[in-house]
Amino acid sequence: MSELLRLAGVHVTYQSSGRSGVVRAVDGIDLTVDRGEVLALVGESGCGKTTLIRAIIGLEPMTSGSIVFDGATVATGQRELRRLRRRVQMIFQDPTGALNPRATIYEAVAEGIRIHGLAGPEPELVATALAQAGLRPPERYMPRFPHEVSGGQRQRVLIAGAMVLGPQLLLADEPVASLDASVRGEILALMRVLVDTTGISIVAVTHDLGLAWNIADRIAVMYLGRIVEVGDAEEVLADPLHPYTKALLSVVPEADRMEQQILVGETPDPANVPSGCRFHPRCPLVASGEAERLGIIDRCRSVDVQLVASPGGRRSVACHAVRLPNDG
Amino acid sequence: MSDVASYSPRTAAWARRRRSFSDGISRLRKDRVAMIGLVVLVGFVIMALIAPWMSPRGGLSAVDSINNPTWHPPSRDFPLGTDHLGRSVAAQFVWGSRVSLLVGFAATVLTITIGSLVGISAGFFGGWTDAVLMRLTDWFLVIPFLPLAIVLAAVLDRSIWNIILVIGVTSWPSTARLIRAQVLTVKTRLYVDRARALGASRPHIVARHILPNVAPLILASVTLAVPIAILTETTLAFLGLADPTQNSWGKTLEEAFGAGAIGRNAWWYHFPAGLGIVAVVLAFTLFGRGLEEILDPRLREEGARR
Amino acid sequence: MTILELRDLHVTYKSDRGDVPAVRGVDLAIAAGETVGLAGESGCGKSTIAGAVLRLLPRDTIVGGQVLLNGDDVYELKPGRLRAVRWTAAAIVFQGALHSLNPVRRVGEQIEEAIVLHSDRGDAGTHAVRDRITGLLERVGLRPDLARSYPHQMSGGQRQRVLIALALACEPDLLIADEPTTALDVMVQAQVLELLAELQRDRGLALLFITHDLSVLSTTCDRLAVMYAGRVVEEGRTVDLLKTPQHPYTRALARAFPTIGDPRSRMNPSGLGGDPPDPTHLPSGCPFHPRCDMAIEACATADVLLRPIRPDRAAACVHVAVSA
Ligand SMILES: Nc1ncnc2c1ncn2[C@@H]1O[C@H](COP(=O)(O)OP(=O)(O)OP(=O)(O)O)[C@@H](O)[C@H]1O
Ligand SMILES: Nc1ncnc2c1ncn2[C@@H]1O[C@H](COP(=O)(O)OP(=O)(O)OP(=O)(O)O)[C@@H](O)[C@H]1O
Ligand SMILES: [Mg+2]
Ligand SMILES: [Mg+2]
Repeated sequence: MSELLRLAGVHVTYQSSGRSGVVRAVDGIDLTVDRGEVLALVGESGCGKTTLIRAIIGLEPMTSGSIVFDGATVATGQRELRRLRRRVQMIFQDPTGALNPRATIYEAVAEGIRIHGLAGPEPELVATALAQAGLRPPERYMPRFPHEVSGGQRQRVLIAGAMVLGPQLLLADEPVASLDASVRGEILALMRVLVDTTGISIVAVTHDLGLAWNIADRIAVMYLGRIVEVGDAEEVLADPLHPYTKALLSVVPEADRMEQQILVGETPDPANVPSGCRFHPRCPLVASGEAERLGIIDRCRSVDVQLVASPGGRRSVACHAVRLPNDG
Repeated sequence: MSDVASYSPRTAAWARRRRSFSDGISRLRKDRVAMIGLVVLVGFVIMALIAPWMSPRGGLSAVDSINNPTWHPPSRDFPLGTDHLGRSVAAQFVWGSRVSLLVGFAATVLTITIGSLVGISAGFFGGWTDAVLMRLTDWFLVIPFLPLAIVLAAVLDRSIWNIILVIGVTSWPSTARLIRAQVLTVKTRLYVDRARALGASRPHIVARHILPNVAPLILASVTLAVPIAILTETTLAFLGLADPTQNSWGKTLEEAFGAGAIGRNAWWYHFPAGLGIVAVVLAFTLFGRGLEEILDPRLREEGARR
Repeated sequence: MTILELRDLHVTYKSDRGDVPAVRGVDLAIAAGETVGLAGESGCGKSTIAGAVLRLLPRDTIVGGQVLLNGDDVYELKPGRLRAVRWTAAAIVFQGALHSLNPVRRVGEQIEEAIVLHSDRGDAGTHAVRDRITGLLERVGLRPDLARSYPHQMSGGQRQRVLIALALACEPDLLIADEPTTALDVMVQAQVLELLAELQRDRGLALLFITHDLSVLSTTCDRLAVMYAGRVVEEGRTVDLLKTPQHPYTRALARAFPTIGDPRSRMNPSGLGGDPPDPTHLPSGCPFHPRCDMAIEACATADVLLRPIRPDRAAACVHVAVSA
């Protein structure tokens, strides 16, 4: 598989209004996405997932770092962004909010075609995209307004509106979080089918590890603006290495489950990133004295930990306590 | 059932719009209060339009009225009586509606155009543009409105177009603020982000997303601005700053006041003009409220169906 | 002891589109110390049941059947008794209530108001009341000094805890939690779930837990009732029901949340086709038949009511064999 997207040292900061200082929402991300893969970006609320994918598509300016898309560094000029935004598409956390209430579904899907002046008969392109997104027969949905279809169908409209441009990368922000349990599987299946039939890549942002198990090839776990673990989905879920990943996995509600590790302590605040390993104030290894026994407690408290790749490069973890196995 | 090839998005969209328009009309019909407002309004507009046929212009001229009795109460010949120069009050009332409405509408067009342009640019572009435009707006807002209008009206030639200009130039700031606030909220909507992520240019976003969603507010401000413009014109005319060649209700009031109609108890002289102003202003407000209500539930309905 | 019992509950809303039969004959009982989960997709009538228990529905709504709270029919209570029953017999943590705290008042004051208004435990500002606020906050795992914060200074999980504390202000026998974790992320959700389980364990609280997410219920509930189109279509003990779902709808819901590590769901998300039914235009026969992959001809015409399968287990499907 070849590489489609490479992020190197991406930082995004917000000026915080009340408190002094800056909010380091995305704080040094290195990440790659291959062609034809689904990467699940998981993490708690507020860890910077949305900010990161908004930065990829240029909706949020980067403070520093670089983005290489399809072999070329992405520039930030209006014209370059416009070209990029034909090949990278995004669907939003809230499908209701992402559709203009005064535009019909036809217009919502055709918007991209008009913006980029795509050749070809517009109604047919729209119809194909709607049908591909599972809204059949398309002509029944075209004249409707967003409030006249269900939430799941709205999400499909957004997917159709993105796919109609034939993008190479789809950024999906919590694609099923606002949807009913029954609709969830349908949308996920649709995303998987799109990847398998069109070769598109998808970055799916979520805090739901079940989603990752359902459709993702790889998983990147994010904590407080950084990636703390990356690897093949099955490996990460079967054998999580980072203590944060382990905690996340332990709280997935399931009938027969492992010992829960509910992280207590304040929700992490990107305006006030702890020194040393940013996870150490909530880390179960530190709390249980395990870190002390391993003799790394001082490093946990004072040395910022970097993502270290396994020799084969498929797995990376950012934890002082973890030695990566050789994955060949 | 039409099939895809023959699907015409424009026709379908227009069909939808027509339907929601006629929907709105039928809902407006059920709103008794708004309908009263509308009927009164239409009555005045018709009167203004057919003024030349209803009463000859000569009725307004003191020279042509030289043989008429002065201070004559309403009678068969003079349905609303005559004034101190023997001119027909009815003619003044009919012709006055023409000027008052013209000023009201024209000044509103100006107010709304300037207000929308400023409000949308400030809200949408933000940053420098916003700072400069809002400073300007504030400047206009803090200057007491009436004195400014009076000064302007006094400096400029006393023509009806200048009156319109004066009202337009002095009353846009509040509209601009209102619209800017709405643009600011629409701008943060996710569908605007989506359009940006689709690669949309700024003109596209303004035309396709911002404008359609501030349009109801603009319409609502129109119904607010017209009565204000009419009242302003009345005030200016009453202060003697109106176009001396045009009869407006405000000018009638001013002349009645100047001629001592109140002291002589010649109620027929000032009452019609006063009533006309109150009626038009009230009618606009009532109709405007009804209009706002039919524009609004559609938004409420969308929220409720989430 | 049975705390809450619904007998053939019917709720029909009045709207300008006509009558909306949101709940169409629900029987449900909750004993002291028991946690019952109510699951089902959006619009199936879950919140309506919650509102019906405490008579919180719009005035013109038609309610049929009986709601017995500690043996009293809620719909025959005098207004004074009704007010006492709300909060002291049963309290609700409302759906989407995260934003319902008053933004300009301190959290402590809001809890105090609930205590003073709904019980005769003393007046505002007294020591007794202050101790009670501290006790409540500690009980839901919040530092007592948080009483002095404003809602916007708290995280979603903290606010949800405050709402639970509010509901507990008058020591209700029954707590109805309507989607208490839907807006929260997994870690905070786990915290809130643990809190609810703890309260229920320590105080013998009866808990009615409403959500569309079956997986959340799997760890917290003793019994589950799955709703579809205003009716319960399957009920039973949690483990039993999730292991061997009998109704095709339950099966689809259960499959929608994969078990991580289960090879059957890997790269194979599963869901339920079709749209949720519109209560004003319910399909004929079994309301689920248009979306059912096991529908037979009879399903389109014959409605199926809940059938007992064995003690403690029932499902409303033609394919279910009725027990003797
Ligand atoms: N415009 C902004 N100004 C200041 N801070 C912001 C802004 N937008 C986001 N943040 C902060 O940046 C951090 C990351 O936010 P982001 O929306 O990326 O989180 P997320 O991982 O997507 O969370 P969620 O799962 O809740 O959507 C949060 O702490 C948030 O409070
Ligand atoms: N006040 C009302 N007037 C008319 N219909 C209503 C009213 N409240 C709810 N309904 C309808 O009754 C049905 C059941 O609503 P209810 O709120 O109980 O659903 P729910 O199962 O709680 O759904 P959700 O998971 O979305 O909260 C829905 O179809 C809803 O549209
Ligand atoms: Mg987010
Ligand atoms: Mg509900």
